[in-house]
Amino acid sequence: MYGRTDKLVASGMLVSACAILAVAGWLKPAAIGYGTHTQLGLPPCNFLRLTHLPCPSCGLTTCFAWAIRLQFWKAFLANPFGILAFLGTVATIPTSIFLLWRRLSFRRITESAHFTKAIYAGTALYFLSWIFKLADLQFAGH
Amino acid sequence: MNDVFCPRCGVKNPGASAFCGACGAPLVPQPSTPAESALATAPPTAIQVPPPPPNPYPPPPNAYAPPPPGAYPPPPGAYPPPAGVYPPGYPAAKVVGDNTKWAVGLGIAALFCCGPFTGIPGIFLAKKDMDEIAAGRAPHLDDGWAKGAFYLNIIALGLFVLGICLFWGGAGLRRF
Repeated sequence: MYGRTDKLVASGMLVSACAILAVAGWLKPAAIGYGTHTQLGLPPCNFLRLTHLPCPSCGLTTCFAWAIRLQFWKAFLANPFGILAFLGTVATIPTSIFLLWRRLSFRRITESAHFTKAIYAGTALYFLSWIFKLADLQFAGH
Repeated sequence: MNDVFCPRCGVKNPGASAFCGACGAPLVPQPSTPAESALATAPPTAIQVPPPPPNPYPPPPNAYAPPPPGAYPPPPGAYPPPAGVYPPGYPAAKVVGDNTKWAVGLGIAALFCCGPFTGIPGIFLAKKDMDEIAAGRAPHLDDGWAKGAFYLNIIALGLFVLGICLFWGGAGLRRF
């Protein structure tokens, strides 16, 4: 049953994805590969301050800022998982438009077994990306 | 020929009769001797069955008697029993679902460093198990753990948002 909540969810996804991409285009990517989000007034990463190591999410904003400029190699070096997140954000726009047009609920996607597998795969890639960043920091000094 | 009595209604009929003249029930020929006659005229319920003879082989003095149910604990290694073998009234052990386990891990990661990047997937995974349990498709899963993982991720997201608000608030206060 398609309801008002489903419409709100799809509309919220569409607006959020557009806003994220617009902000990514507005931000200037940090040259060191992380810390771009501080331009939004957000605090620097506590994990990085305490351990002097990047957290799994470090570099995601920088990655988005590079990816929206189609600089995918620099985006990959900033955060490999960010490429996937960027493509997912871009794909959210046509998906939410399709959901609104065909009056389909987002729960049809979230309740499928493929969505659960995608979450597992995304989580694994998220932490693999962190390992890559740690190794990159250790061996290449980026 | 002796007269016959109907076994159903008890009416006396001539000996040559094959059926009772009163009720029409089939008649059986009467025995000729008095003893047999007495047995034949007695109602069927009156026949006494002799008691069975005593067991000629009594059990030995040290014979094994099976213990009553529940007298001994189950042998070690018998748990967890397979599904469906619990006696009525015995509560089946609940297990923590795989999605819930992952949601707990993602919630802990969200609390420490990852915020929404692991908190939102954790919410989805915990909610999936909660929905399965609520729909009755996974009665063996522990609902408490699923709810705990769900709220852990919600709290992690809330703390993330609160931290940003406090930072912004502190930055705003410092300007004044």
